[in-house]
Amino acid sequence: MIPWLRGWTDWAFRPEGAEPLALFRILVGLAIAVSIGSVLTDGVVEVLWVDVAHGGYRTFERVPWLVEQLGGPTLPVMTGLTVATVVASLVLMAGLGGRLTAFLLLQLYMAVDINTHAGGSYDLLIKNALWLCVLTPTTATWSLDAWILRGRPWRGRPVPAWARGLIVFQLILMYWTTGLQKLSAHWTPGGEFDALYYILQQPSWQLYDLSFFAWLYPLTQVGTAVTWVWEVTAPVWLLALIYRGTREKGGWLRATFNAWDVRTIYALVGIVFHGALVLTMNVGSFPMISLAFYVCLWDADEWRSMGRGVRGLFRRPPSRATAAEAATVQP
Amino acid sequence: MPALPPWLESARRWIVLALIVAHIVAISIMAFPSPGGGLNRRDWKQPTVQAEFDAWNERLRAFGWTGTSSELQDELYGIARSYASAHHQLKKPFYRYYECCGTAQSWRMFVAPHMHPSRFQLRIRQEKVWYVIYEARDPDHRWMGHVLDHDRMRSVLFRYGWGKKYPKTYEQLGDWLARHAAVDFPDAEVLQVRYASYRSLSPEQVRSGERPKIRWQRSRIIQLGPFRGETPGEPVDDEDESDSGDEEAP
Repeated sequence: MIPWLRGWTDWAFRPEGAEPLALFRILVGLAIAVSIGSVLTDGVVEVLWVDVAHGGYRTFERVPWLVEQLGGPTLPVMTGLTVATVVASLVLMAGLGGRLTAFLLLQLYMAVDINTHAGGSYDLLIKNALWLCVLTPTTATWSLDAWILRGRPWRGRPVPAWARGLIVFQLILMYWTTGLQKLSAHWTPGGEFDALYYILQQPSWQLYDLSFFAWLYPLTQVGTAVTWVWEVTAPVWLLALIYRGTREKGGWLRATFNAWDVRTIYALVGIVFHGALVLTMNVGSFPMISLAFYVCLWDADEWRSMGRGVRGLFRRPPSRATAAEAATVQP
Repeated sequence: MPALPPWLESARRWIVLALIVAHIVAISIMAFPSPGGGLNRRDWKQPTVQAEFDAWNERLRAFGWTGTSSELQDELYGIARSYASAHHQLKKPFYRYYECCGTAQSWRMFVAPHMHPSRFQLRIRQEKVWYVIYEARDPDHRWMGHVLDHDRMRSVLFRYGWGKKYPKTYEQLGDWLARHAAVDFPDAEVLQVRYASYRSLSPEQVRSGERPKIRWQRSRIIQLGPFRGETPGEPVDDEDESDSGDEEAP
C-alpha cells in the first residue's frame, strides 16, 4: 500500500472514546423529540400533515411509502406516525437498538415530513444526522445497548475516529455551501453589510419586534461581516480539525493553527451565532440540531480535559487552617 | 468480539473507507450551490431580486462591465441554466441515495434579506364592520395563533407571501381557515385573508419614527355561509375599506 494512504487509513481508524458520538445521538434525539413533539402539543398535526380530504388544508399528490402503506395522510395515521416518531426519538436518546433504531426513526421522520411548504433546513439536517447515526456506532457507550452487552450503560468500547470526522464534515459542508450562496449585495464585501439587520426585520421569523436593532445597526453590520467570512472560510475549520488531530507532525502552519486553537475560535463564533438566533428568531429546531453536531468537534480525551478544567474553576482552594491541619498530620 | 484475521481486517477497512468516500462525494456534489427554483424568471421580477441585480450591475461596472441590469440578467440566466444542467448530471447517479437515506443537501439559508416582506392578516366582517382577528406578530390579534405562529406554519406563510406563488395551496389554506372561522364566529359573514406588504425601513427611517407604507396583496374574501351549510350571502367588495379595519374581535 502507498505509505501516505496507509498513514491516512491508520489515522481514520485510530480508536478513540465513544462519548462524543453518544452525546451527538442524545442531542439528535432531543432535537427530534422537541421539534416533532411541538407539532403534537400545539395541535397542528391536522393542518400540517393531513390531506384536505381528511381535514387538513392542502392536497398531497405524492406521499412517502410508509404513509401510503398505512392508508394515506388521514388524521389517525399522521397522529400515530407523529407519536411513533417522538417515542422512537426517546428510544434513540436511550441508545437502544443501535443503528436499527436510527434507521427506523429516519423512515418515520421522512413519513411525517410530507408538507414541503411547512419546514426548513432543520428537517434536512435532522435527516442527515439520523443517517449519520446509522453509519456510525453512536450507541457504543452511554446507552442501553452498552448496558445489555457490557453490564454498565457507561462502559463503552472504543470507536474509530472517522465516525466523528464524518459528522463534523457534514456540519462544515453545510456552513460552507450556505456561505457560498450568500451572493446578495447585502452580505458581500463592497456593500453595506446590512443583511442581518434586514433579516431581523422580517416578520416571518421574528420572536418579537426587533426594530430596536436600528439603534444597534453597527453591531448588525459586524455580525453580517463575521457571519459571511466565517461561513465562506469554513474549510479552514476543517483544516484546523485535521491539524488538531495530527498535532504530533511538524510544520509552521500546523503549529500556528494549534497555538491559536483555530478550531475552538470557529466553534465559539458558531455558538454565538446560534445563541443569537435563539434569542431573536423562531427558526424551529435549527439551532438545536446544529449545535448537536458541535459536540463532535472535540474527542473524548479533550472533553475530559475540559471537564477537569471546569471543575478546577469551581473547586475552592484549601483554606489556611485546613492546609495547616493537613501539614500537622503529615508523617 | 474476537479479532479478525489481518487480511479480513484489511479488507473491512478498505470497504468502509470506500463507503465513506462515496458518501462524502455524494453529499458534497449535492450541497454545492445550485440555482434550483431560482431559475424561474418570473420570480426575478420581484422588487427584492431586481434590487439585487441593480446593485451587482453597479458593482460590476468597476470591473469593466458596460451592460444594463437587464442584459446582466440575460447573461446570468444563460450561465445559470448551463451550470444547473451540469450539476443535475453530476447528482443523477446519487438520487436514490439522497431520497432513501435522507442525505439531500440544500443549504440556501437566508441567501438575501427579503426587502419587501409581508405580514399575514385575517379579518372577518360582521354586520358590515371589519374586525382583525389575526395578524402575524401582533399579540392583540391572535385567533388561531397557536397554529399560525408555529414555526412550521411560519414557513408556510412566508412562502405564500412571496409574490403570487403557490396559488392552489394558498387558496386551500384560506378555505381551511374559513371552515374554522365559520364555527368560531357564527355571526360573521365573510373571512378575508391577505398580506400587508411593505419595504423594510432603513435604520435611519426607523430612528426618525417613520412608518412603513403598506400595500395589501393576495387578498381573498371567503363567504362563511357555505361552511355552515347556508347559502352564500351577498358578495363583498374586495376593496371595501369603508368600515374600520381595527375593531376588536367580537
